[in-house]
Parts: sequence; C-alpha cells; structure tokens
Amino acid sequence: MKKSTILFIAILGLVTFSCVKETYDMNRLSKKMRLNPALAVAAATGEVTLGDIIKTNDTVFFDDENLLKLWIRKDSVVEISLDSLIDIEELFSFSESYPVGHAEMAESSTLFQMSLNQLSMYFDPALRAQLQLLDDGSPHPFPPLPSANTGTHTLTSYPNFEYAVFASGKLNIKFTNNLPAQVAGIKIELKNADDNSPVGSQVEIPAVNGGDFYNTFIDLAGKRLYKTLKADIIVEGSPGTSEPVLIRMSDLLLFEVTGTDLKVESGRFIVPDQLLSDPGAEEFVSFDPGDGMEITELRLNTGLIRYTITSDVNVRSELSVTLPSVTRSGAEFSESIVVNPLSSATGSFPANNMVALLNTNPDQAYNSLPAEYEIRISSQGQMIDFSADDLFSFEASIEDLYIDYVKGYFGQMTESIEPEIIDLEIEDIIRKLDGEFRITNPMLTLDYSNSFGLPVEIALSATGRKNGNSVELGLAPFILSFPQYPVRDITDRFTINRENSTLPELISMPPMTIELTGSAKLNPAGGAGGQRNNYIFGDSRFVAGLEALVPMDLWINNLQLADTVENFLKPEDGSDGFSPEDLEYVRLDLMVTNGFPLGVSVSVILRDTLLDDDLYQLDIPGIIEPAPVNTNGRVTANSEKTSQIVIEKEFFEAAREAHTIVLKFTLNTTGSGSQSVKIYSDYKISFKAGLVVRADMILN
Amino acid sequence: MRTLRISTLIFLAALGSHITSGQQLSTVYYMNLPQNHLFNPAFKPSNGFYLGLPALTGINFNFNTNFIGFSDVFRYSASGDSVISVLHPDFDTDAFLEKIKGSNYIAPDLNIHTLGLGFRAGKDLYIFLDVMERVSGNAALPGSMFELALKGNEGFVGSTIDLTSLDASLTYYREIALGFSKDITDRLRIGARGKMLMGIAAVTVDNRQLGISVLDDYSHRMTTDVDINISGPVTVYVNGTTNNIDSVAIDESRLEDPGFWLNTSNPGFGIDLGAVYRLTERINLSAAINGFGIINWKSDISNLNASNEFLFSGFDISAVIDGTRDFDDMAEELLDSLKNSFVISEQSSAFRTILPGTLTLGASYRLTEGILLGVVSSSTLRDSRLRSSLMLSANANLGSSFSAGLSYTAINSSFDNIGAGLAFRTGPVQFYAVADKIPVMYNKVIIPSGESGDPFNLILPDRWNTLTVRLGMNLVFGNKIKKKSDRPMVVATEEMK
Repeated sequence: MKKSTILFIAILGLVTFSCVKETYDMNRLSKKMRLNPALAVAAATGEVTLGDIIKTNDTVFFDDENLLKLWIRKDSVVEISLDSLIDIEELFSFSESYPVGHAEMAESSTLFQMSLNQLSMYFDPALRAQLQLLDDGSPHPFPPLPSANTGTHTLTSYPNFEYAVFASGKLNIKFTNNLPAQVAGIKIELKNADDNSPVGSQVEIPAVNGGDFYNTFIDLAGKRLYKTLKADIIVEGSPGTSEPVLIRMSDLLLFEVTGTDLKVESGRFIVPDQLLSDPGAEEFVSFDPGDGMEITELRLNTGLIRYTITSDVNVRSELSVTLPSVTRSGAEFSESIVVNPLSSATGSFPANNMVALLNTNPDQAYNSLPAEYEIRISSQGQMIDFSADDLFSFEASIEDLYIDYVKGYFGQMTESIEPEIIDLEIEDIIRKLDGEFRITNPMLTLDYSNSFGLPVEIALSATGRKNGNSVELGLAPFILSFPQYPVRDITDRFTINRENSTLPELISMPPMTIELTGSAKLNPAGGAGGQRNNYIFGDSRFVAGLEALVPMDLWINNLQLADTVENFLKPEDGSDGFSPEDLEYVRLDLMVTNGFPLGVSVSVILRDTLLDDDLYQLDIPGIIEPAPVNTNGRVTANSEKTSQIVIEKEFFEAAREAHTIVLKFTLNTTGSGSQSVKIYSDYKISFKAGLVVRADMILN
Repeated sequence: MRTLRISTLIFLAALGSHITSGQQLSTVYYMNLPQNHLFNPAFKPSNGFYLGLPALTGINFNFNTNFIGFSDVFRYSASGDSVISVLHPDFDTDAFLEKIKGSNYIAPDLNIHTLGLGFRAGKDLYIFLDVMERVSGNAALPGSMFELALKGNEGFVGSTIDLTSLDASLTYYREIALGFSKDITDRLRIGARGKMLMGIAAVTVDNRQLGISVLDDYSHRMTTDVDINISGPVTVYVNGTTNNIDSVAIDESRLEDPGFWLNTSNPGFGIDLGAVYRLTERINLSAAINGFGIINWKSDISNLNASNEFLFSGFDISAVIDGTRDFDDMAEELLDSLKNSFVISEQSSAFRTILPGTLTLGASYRLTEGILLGVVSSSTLRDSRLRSSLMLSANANLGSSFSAGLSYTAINSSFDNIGAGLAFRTGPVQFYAVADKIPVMYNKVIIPSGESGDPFNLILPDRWNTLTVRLGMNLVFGNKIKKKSDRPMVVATEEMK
C-alpha cells in the first residue's frame, strides 16, 4: 500500500503540478482583426464574331466575300415628271389680237345732171334765149358757150354709208356730155356736204365732145367722205358746132361719181359680205414657248383645243382656219367659227391623234405653224360703225393634254437645286472625337430611270464643314443618260466614288454640316447645228433613287473618343458606399485574342470639377492589340495580349471625391493609319477576364 | 482507505479538469483490469469472475485530434501589452498556417460499458460477455480551408483546393460481445470475441472526391463525389424540381420511443482476435486485432449522393454582346447551373459501416513480480488513414488489489503524451481510472466573466492531441493471480537437447 500510495502521489503530482506555459489574460485581448484574403475568380469570358455583333439587315450586310458594308438605299429620292419640268399646255397657248383691217365698201354711185337749160341759166340771158330758140327740133349749129361757174350742186347721197375714211379707193367721176357740142372742159371740186370739207382737189376734165364721156377719179386714200357730196362745177363752155345739130335744152351734162375699190379705214357704212383676207391666205403663226425652246413637232394622243374669239368689230365674222401641217387622225386640221358682232365665240376642238409640224416655215423651222385662214365679215345690210383698228382677239389653248411627244430643242434651261444645309446633328459626337480616320471607298450611286429624251447636265456641289475646316466634294458635272428616240426610257446609274470625287475625304471628316447645292441644265452643249432632237414624252419622268454603299474599308489613326460622365462610382448621399480602405487592390487580368484589325487603349480619369483637378488617372494602353493584315487589308492572324489592370485603393478613394469620370478610348487600325483594313464577318475576338480582389479589412 | 478514496477522487477531479486526447487507451493494456481483454481477447483477467454494472463498469471517452493548440491561435503581441488572435494584423499568419495539417481531424469516441461479465470456465478457459454502447464520431477539416479563409484562393491558382478530407461522421451502435480466451499451448493463449452489433443511428460521409480546382485563368472547377448515408429518424426533403435539399427534419418523437433505442434492424457483426505468447518467463508477446466490425444499416435510411462537377469560367457574355441575352438571364442561368450541378439524389438503400480495426502488437518484460515494462504498438486504419501510436509503459500490478501504470505514448505526431492509470480494489469493488495523455504544459486563460465582474481562470493544455479517459468500477471475485510461472512447461531433458 505504501508503494501504491507513493506511486499515486507521484502521479498526482505529475498531473497536477505540470508546468503552466503561459497565462493569457483575455481582458487584454485585442479585438483588432485583419482580413487580407485575395480572391481570384474568372469574371467573364466571351467569344464573338463580327457576325454575332452585327446582324444583317437592310442597312448592314456582308457581301459575297463577307466584307462588311453599310448600305442605305432610298428609292425615288428625285422624281421629276413632265408637269414639274415643263408646262406643255403653257407652251401651246396662243393669245393674239388682230385688227380687223380695212373693210371693203361696196361700189356706190351718186349722180348729178345738169341740163342745157340749167346750164344756160348761168349764161347771158340773151344767149340763153338764143339757145331756147334753137331748141325747135331742127338742127342748128350749136352756138359757142362761155365758161360758166354753175356753183355748188348737191349730189344724191350715197346709200351705203354715212361717212367713211378710206384707206384706199377711188372716187371715179364720169362726165357724160350729152350735148351735141363739145364741152371745152369741166372743173369739178367735190366737197362733203356735211362739213364742206373738200374731197380731194379740183378735178379738171378736159374737153369732151358731145355724146362722149370722160372718166377721172379722185384718190380717196386717207380721205374722209360723207354720204352727200357737193360739187362745185365750172363748165368751161363749148366751142359750139358748125354743123347743125339738134339743140335741146333738155340735153344733159351727167356727172356720175362712183366710189370703187373702196377700203374703209373707218366709218359708218354697210359692210358688204366680204373676205378680209385673201382666199387661201396663209401665214405662219409663231409660238414662243420661251426659254429658247424650239419646238418642231408635237404629237398629241388626246387633247382639247379651247378657243375664244372676241370680236370688237360690229360685223358678223366667220373665221375659217386650216392648219396644213396639223393633222387630226390623219386629216388636215380645219375649223370654222362664227362670231357675232361685238361678241365672243368660245368653243373647243378635239385634238385627238393630232400631229403638228412646227418646222415647215422656211424662215423659221420651229415654233411656227402655217395657218390658212379666211375671215368673212358682213354687217348684213346694216349700217355699222367700223374701224380697221377694231380687234379680233384670238385665244387658244390646249387642255387635257396627253402628248405622245414633243420634239424640238428645249433650250438650256437651268434649274437650280435649292441650296440646303444639312445638319448631321453629330456635333456632340464630334466634340468628343479627335484623331483621324478614313473610310477609303464609299460610294454614292444614283440609280435612275429617265424618259426625258434630252441631255441634262447635273452639277452637284457638296461642302462638308467642321470647326472652320471644309472639304469640297469635287465632283465634275455629269450628264445623265437619256433615251434616243424611238427608245423612250432608259435606266442607268451614276456613281460618285473616290475615282471621281473627294467623297472619302468628305465623309471621313466627318462633317458637322453639308452644304448641298447644284443645278440641272438642259442641253449643256446648246442647240449646236440646229439639231432639234430633244424628245419629251407624255409620260416622261425622271426617277432616281440614291444608294449609299460604304464598305468597311478604312483606317484609323489615334481616333480618340472622350466622354465625360457623372461619377457613377460615387456613393449616393447618405450612404457610405464601398469603403476603399477595405481593399488593397482590384486586378483585372484580361487575356484577349483579337482577330480584328483594330486596337483599343483606354484611359479613365477621375476628375474634381470644382478644383479642376485630375484626382486619378488609370491608363490601360493597348488593352486590345490590332491583328496583322495583308496588303489587301485582310487579317492574317490573331493578336494575343494579356493585360493586368490594377486598380488600387487610391482609385477608389479618388472615386469618392471625383465629380466626373472622363473615359477616353483610343482606336487604331493595324499600322495606325498606314494602310487600309477591311472588316469581314468571320473576324472574331475572344477574351477571358479574371478578377483578383485583395481585401484589406481592419476590423475593431 | 479513506485517504485512498479521497485521493482517487482528487485524482479523478484533477484528471477530469484536463482535457487530454488519445486514440486508444493503451495504459490499460498491461494493467490488471478485466477491461484489458477489450484490447486483446487473449488476455485473461486475474479474477475468476467479474461483473461490470451498467454504466458503472466503464465509461471510456477518447478524443483524438491533430488540430492546433490554444497558443497557436492566441499569443501576446510583440510589445507584450495585449493578447492577439490569429486574425490580428500582427499575427504571423504564415506560421499559423504551417501548423495546420493537410487534414485536421477531431475524432471523439464515447464507449459506455453497460454490462460486463466474465468468468473462468475450466482450467484455462475464460468467457466474457460485454454489452457496450458505442458512439463514434469523426470530423475532419482540410487544411486548405484555413488557407482559403485567411489568404483567399489566389494562392491556389493552378492547383486544387482538396477538400476530400472533409468529413463528418457519427455512428451509434450497441455491441454485444461474447468471447473467450484459452491456452492453446503452455505458451500460447488465444482469444476471440464475437460481437453482435446493433446499429442505432448513423451518419456517415463517404467523401470520395471534393475539391475546387482553380485554373490558370481563374476558372473554378468544383468536383463532388460524396455520399451521405443516414440511418435515423431524419427526413431529408429534396426539391423534386431543383433536386436540392429543401429541409431536414428530425422526428423527435421517435427519440422518445424505446423501440428506437432497441433497434435491431441494423445488424452487424464484429470480431476481435488476440493472442499472447510467452516467449520467455519474463517476456511476453501479444498481438490483437480488435474493433473490426461491419454494420449493415437498413432502417430509417436516407442516402444522399452528390456526384457533380461544376465549372465556372466566368460569365460568357458572348450572348450579351450579340444581344440574345442580358445579364439577368446569365445570372439566372448560372444559378440554375449551379443548382443543377449539385444535384442531390436521394434514395433509401442500405449502407454499410465498416468499423476500423486496430492492430495491437505488444511486448512486455517482467522486471519483477510486480513490475512490468511494456511496449505497445497500435495501428488503426480509419478513413483510409493509418493512425498509429507507440507506447512505452511501466506497470505495477500488486496482486489483485492495486494496479498502476505509467506510459509514454507517441501519437498523432505528438511526442509528449504521458499516460497513467490507477486501479485499486476495496473488497469486491474495484475502481479504476486511466488517462493516456497527461498534459505536461498548460496555458492559463483568464476569462472575463462579464457582468459578474470577477474573471475566472481556465487551465487548458498547451497541446491537446489525444484524450483518453476511462474510469469505472467492477465487481471482482476470485482474484487468484496465477503466477506467471517461470517454470518451463516442458523440461528439456538431455535427450531432447
């Protein structure tokens, strides 16, 4: 038992009185803790081809070689119809007034006779008595008679006029000596009875043998004649006869005054039925379509010729017109129109299947239409007031026109394109852009259909402007294709590209505004050689669509896009947000395999706008490297780049203070602009992004 | 006697205030206790009859760990004015992590000897019957988890965070063993114990593969091939759509049902074998395989299997770039993928628990009649890991009334394990208490007591790798210790020479 006791005590001592290595006073335990793990996680991965990013649609597509192209097409950008270019109806409107001209007056005579008996009254009474004695029925030698002024005698009135001013005509005076002896001469002076105005000058009739007559006339041109004339007659006597003649006191001296070939200037008279024009008169009616147009031929399918003839002439007029060079349905155009006195006649003629040749005038082989016309007038027995200046007004127009074609020369009309300034509204974007880029092969194509058979030269001017710089399009005027008759329509296209303009430079400015102006000029070469072979058809129209094709064939040299945004990293008011003290750093490990010929560098600047100070700048140069390309601009291999982007605690501290964040992206194509690159659909970019976050949390 | 009782109690109290850990109680091995047949069924108690009363005959608690100690987690600052923890900025985290093992396990065992009976039958036959309640647990944390928690996963880029050693198992079974030992020859004695095992409840984790590979591009591949087998009043509700666990419910009413505790639906068997060979009069060699057994769990079965592989390579934003998806879609897809990658399949299939056997090899040298020096090697294959210990002991067996032992054990890479056992008898009542690790170094921790104001002191071992405590009492009768005769059984005659 003693041994066991001793052993027991030894064991107990061993157990109980073992060493106390350390005493830990947990009252002095520091509650400070630090957690500093680094967590690495694959954040994102991706592989996209251009075909994944860009879905083909009407605007974006890949061609047969998979080259990316932008295509914008707008049909019917320009649509010009015949109506908007030329008013055909206006071309063939006619409005003229013609004075009626001189009207003929019917011949009309007035008579005056003087017997021997009346004549002898002006002799010595003894002679008179002698003559009376000799009037015994037996022949006697006719005694000589002295000259006798018989005074003024009123002739009988003309029945067919009141008065007239004659443009031409004669007043024939026929003296018939019915005396048995010669009258030595007559002097007649005619006067208008109304105002005693002389009618012409004194007419001297030479000696007229007995039984003979003598004609003379007074030219009435420009003379006014009233219907009643007076005649101052002086009989120059008679030499008598030696042979016995029957002397009768009733023998007459006859004076017959007859108006002949009378054409009245004006007056009041009975207009006899007469033709104003010569039968079959022809003259050329000219049109002036204006603007130097020279029309030679007009073919109408349908139409209506409307006319209005207004007569200021107080006569019934009947107008007959024949247009020898105009046919309707193969028949010569001929129409008659009756116009009542002082009234208008309105009507229309169909102009269906009408062919009009306006080139038959040997003096003017265009715009001229021969017209045969007759104008018959008549006052229908009524005494009317007439003036040769009274007008016939002719108005004619063609309506409801559906032409087949008009041929001729349409002049060199120039229609200006209204200057227009197109604001591309990209000022905001341009302000953020710096650097250069060039779209190397853009194309603008005008697809048009033209059924105007005449050359049109288009001069198009476009000026791109940006920040005081400008680039002109530099496109030379070009002539649109046009159909050559009998071809009536032609389609063609005109392309503006780098070969004929500075379009790449203009587009690649890029411009803030584009000033567009231009003009369209018909027949730029003029009407050389009298060739009048422009054709305008009834359905002529010019329709053009515009197609813009931009192949992604480009280069970029340090194109920098900078944008300033509100600091979205800043915690909202009232919240502590993310505490940067809890982080040592955040690192983004980015592995990029790039099959695009495009490289990107990124800068992030945290900015204090109040102090105008950059608080932190994070530069990530060459985060994506451009892939190499061959001489044709096609990528030949991928570029590989691994970047480590370390965002330190200071970045987050600055993010809490910054007001804005400036993001700068710098783009470069392969070679930084030394060659063009092309973008194909099979280009691919893949990336893997790993995130390493090293926390540094101190907890108390 | 009174002194002895008081001393015993003090010893037990002192012992109880220390937490030691041990894998297997080895000090008992050479002590004159009927319980030593549990280590080698060939051992014959010196008592002609012994009876262990329910629960009193022995409570054995084993606690094994290779985890860190208190001073690994706390220390004084360089200035000495404060105590800093492992998370303190000034703590050398790398030094701390170096102390973390690849697999850090905690394996408690509790064995309650509810009934022990042994008697001598015939000249050399000894028969014993033992009923024991055995609760065995094991939890293992991979060392990489600590590195992951403290340093993050960046250090694992290009390698794998191996969590295969992550384990959590608990087994409760009843062992009814009937054994015998007998002399085969005058030198050789063998013993065997057949054990009928009745599984009460179990949760076992068969972690064949669990790991997270962090690839060079920071992608994470998580691979699982884990089975969790449950036998018990546990219902796991698995969402039929997502195949994820919705909830786990324990039917507590079953625990109040005696039938649960007397469950015979999970049968098993085990066997212990042992042999003792008297090499010389003074030298004995012993060998034993014990603890081996198999339990087939058939009732209240829930088998959960997670065999999955999930690879996260980051969000593939190709679809976002080409516009066919947005980020919300991707997040949802990731979540679905994650859920679908960790599909729990549930079924109810019987499973089997293999109880690890322990190979014990010993050699003793009888220095004097009452003093025995011994060396014991114990190896247990547990969860594919071999856990070994080597014990040197000195035992004093004074008749049948007193037995004491002192041992030194190298175990769990720890070489400062001292054990001691004491058994004494008053009349037919034999008391014993054994502990295999008696901490040499302790740390005193002054803990503030909060509102009461007075702090209290807690004495904690500086290293706590192994704790094995066994104590109990037996009723022993017929204690005729057969002198280990040094007379040869066979006298070699000249002729034989």
